[in-house]
Amino acid sequence: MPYVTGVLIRGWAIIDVLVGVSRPRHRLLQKHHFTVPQPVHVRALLDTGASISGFAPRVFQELDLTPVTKLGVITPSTPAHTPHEVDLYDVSLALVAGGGTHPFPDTRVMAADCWLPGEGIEALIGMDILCRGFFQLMGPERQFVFAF
Amino acid sequence: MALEKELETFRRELPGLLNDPANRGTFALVRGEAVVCLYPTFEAALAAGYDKFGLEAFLVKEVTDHEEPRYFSRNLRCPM
Repeated sequence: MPYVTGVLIRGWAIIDVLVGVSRPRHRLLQKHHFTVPQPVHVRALLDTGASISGFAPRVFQELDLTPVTKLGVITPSTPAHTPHEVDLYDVSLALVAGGGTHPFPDTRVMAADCWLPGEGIEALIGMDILCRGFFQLMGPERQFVFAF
Repeated sequence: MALEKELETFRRELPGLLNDPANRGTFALVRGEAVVCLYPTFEAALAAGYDKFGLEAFLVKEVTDHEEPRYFSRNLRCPM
């Protein structure tokens, strides 16, 4: 079972992720002799408080993607009865671990513009992804493991 | 904004779709001003969207009168 492990940085479990176009879109781009965009590298925070994963809008712009659906999302400042309406994109993710990459193909993630300059992350990996594996936080050792 | 027309179409057609209980919980494939077809899963609707419309934009939405919101632990700067 592949896994990602690391030390907590500022109390955060951070991993490297490559975001690419989904497999169906990849096939369509090749079929029509278009260039397939290279996957975009993003540093992401593992976040059990998010039920859905979100990435900076620039990721989807670089992949030249349009959304496939819209969903209501509640944030800390959102009144529960008026969720934000956000765009969801069909992508393929690959987690970087142990010198290799491990695919999570055909995943829907949202666009989120909420990153602070200098904090070094542009994505939250939420429970939609974490529930596909085994996430362990070892607080006293300041380490984490995500096996999948 | 992306998919605005498709979202408007879906909202217009949703009450009619909900009139048939068999449609509830299915997923609508929407393109322009038409609900193209209903599918049992999001993945099936998405695959049909790629088959029918290729690289052009289309919308997939669940036929429901209560869509469960997702939770995101940061504030968003503006509606996406």
